[in-house]
Amino acid sequence: MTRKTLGAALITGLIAVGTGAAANEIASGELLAFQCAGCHGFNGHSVGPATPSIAGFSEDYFVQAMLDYKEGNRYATIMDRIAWGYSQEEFEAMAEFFAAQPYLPARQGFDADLAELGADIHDRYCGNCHSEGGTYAEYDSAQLAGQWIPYLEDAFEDFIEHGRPQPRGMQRRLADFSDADVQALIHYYASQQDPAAYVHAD
Amino acid sequence: MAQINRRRFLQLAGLGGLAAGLPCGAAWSSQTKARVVIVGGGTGGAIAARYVKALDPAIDVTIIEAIPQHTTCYMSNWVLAEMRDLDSLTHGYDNAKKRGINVIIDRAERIDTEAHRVLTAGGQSVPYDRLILAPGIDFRWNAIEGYDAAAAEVLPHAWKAGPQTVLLQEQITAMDDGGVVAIVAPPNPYRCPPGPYERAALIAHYLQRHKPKSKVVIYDTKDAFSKQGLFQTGWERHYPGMIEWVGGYETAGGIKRVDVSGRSMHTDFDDFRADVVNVIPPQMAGKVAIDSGLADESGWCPVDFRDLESTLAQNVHIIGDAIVSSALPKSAYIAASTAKVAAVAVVDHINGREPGKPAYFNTCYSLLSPEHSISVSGVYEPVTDADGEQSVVGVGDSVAISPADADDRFQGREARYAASWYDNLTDQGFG
Repeated sequence: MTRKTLGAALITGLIAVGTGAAANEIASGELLAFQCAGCHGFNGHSVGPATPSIAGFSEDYFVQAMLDYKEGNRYATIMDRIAWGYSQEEFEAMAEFFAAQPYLPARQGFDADLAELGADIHDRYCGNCHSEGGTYAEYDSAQLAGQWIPYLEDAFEDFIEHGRPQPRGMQRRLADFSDADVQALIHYYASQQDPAAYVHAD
Repeated sequence: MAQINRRRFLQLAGLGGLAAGLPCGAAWSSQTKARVVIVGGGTGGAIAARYVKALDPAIDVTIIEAIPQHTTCYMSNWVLAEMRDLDSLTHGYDNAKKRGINVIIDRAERIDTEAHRVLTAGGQSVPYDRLILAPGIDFRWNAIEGYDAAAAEVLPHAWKAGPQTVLLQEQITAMDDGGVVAIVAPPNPYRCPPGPYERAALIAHYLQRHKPKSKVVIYDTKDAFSKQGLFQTGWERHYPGMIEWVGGYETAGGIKRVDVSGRSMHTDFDDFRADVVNVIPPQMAGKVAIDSGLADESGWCPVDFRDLESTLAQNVHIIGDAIVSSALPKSAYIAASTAKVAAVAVVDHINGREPGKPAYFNTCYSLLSPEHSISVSGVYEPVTDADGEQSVVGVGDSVAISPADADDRFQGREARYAASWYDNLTDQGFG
């Protein structure tokens, strides 16, 4: 619980004395976050190739992603429906939990030649915003590296075909990329499998 | 308060590989603070054990489970469609043991809630400070006249996975083309509400490829069922004319009697025959809960939804399918969800903290074909009415199913999510 939410809980507690019901009480961020694990893995480390790991995401990005789902701004099959059930305060509490978890890259096969090509494309076109080879939890983006290949393929499809929120510059670049460029990037991100590469001094 | 939570974050982080950085971890794990016993090592029980141990390594955690390996009932319909084999749905307790969880393979027969002990078929008497009961379901034998444990060896239920799944699959495989597979669907409440209807689709998927003149007929007790519109549309799209659903209103309440020798089914007015008869019988909480006085007249276990403590016994928390009928579906995901609520509450109680608000969440995928899945999900919270009656309600509009106009890519993605859902759901307890 952050200081802010602790304060809110105290205020709620005072109101509750008056009304007899703590209507705005929320569950702990820890317990809320535990409920995500059935699809996103224990503590956010997904072992299922279609769903992303969400451990180690920055708090800002996690909350923004959930609000985008909730408000219908981001393509989803199920995350929009799920997000309808939570408040921003609850998203913030979950975000604090996941941000405190280490990010563990997926162990998976990849094409080394494609990955080398992808490293080049990344450095030239993506690295300014997605720093450290895509291993860094940005305030406005998750780690790209270390995610499962099937998930990354869906994520690129979301950006290119389903209008997932993105800066205009990124939209233009993705429009210029060939399918082969995208595959190369995906294999580059999948190739970064050393957990130590994801530990950055802030 | 903030400090407690931060410390617990770090404990959990420790499982991810940072244990060496924890100054107190070793000292805590060398002394026992309290004994938590978990009866039932299915999805809920295994997950509860892992979370209790992760949240407080100083707690001694023991699972008591009759069968050395657990085969999940969820995904067992995929076996009937030749998409998975049963081995891939079978999980052991080696990883639980490596985490310092004790595993006793023995059948828990009764819980002495006065003496705080679990009594087993093998003659053990296992003491506990807090008990988490995850007994799953048992069947109401003879609720359908003629359908008992012996009858299930001929007319399989396949509603607990394992040999029963194999039996059903063998019967379907041996059936002549042009045969009829009947599914007798149970009354509410029961394990896996969409399960019988997914089963119809995946059996039809098998039949379409191997015995295309065959049919599946569902004889239902109910007048309506989970995700009904999506199922019926999907059946017609993928298996036109192959699946027939006979609602309870058409037969005055469904099948009342079965005859094993003739593979026949009887309502108050009609008699039906099929080549394969899959009877999913009416259900109740697992027998150990009933025998220990932890179920009410409904046959299910009443709980305080704030911390899942039984309303019939102190220091006993009940999770999963056995919980009294509520808005929470009897799904694998809710077994996991309630396991976590109980684990946090038990650790809080042991450490002298009042449990906070619980968080319940469900996601279920059902396959219509290997490339087409539909889902239901929902966020739930407990409420207490003016009379002090407790219940659980869905939050806002969050209890929702896949859109009817989803395109092929959407449905295909849901099918892939279903497989990853399985990987992550089982990894929490068994991985």
